[in-house]
Amino acid sequence: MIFKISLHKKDFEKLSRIKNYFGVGIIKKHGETTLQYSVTSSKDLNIIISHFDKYPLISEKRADYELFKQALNLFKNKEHLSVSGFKKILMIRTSMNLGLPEELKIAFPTIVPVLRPVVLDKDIKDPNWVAGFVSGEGSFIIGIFNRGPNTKPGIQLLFKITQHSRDANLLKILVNYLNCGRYTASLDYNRGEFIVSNLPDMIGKIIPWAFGPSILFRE
Amino acid sequence: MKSLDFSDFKEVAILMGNKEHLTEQGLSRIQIIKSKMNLRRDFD
Repeated sequence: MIFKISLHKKDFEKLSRIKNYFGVGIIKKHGETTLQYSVTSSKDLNIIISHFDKYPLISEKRADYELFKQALNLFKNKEHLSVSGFKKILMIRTSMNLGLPEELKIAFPTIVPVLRPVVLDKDIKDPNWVAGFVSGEGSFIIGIFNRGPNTKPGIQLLFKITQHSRDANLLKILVNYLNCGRYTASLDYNRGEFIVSNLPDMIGKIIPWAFGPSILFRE
Repeated sequence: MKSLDFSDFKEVAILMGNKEHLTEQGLSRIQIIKSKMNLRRDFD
């Protein structure tokens, strides 16, 4: 089992800080331009688990996390060595992330996914969570558009957070919490966006959050 | 490295807050910033 974070190689510094924070895991070259931090031993994964139990995720990734924990417990009890335990892990894996990889689907066509845990508690309790979410998932965009030959170009600042539509509700909660912006479903319906375009809101409400009170991830 | 994009963005927000984007100089400053941020940033 693997806990991993992949980032662009320019963010080596950030991955190192995460590695130092947890005190376990390794960083290695992943793709052409990416690096990956990974933790694999079940002893080291305990450290990751205790972090996320203390600072719970509140997006749908929380459900993936709960499933990961279930599978890790099966591993710890050596249940994965039996056929039924192994199948149980495949059932869990089928409900996680993007589902079972194609080759496993073909090898185990009868696997039924376990029920995905329902993430009920989506209230934002910790401002550090907002700071991390805004600065980590957000995009800062400057739009310049021409308005004809004799007029100065217009400038539009845009702040966007794009997520899978499964987290539409969380983005709507964010509109409330930050008291600005709006939620729009993207055209392909698989994604939703939290968007702020109004300048006073940008200066007064978004920019201070992007600085954030977070210690670890502050740059 | 997103922190650099954020700094650029913040600089433009402040310029706009001071209405400097309405001047020739402010506008060209913003155009330069935009041309070097996000995916256009050189980091090597």
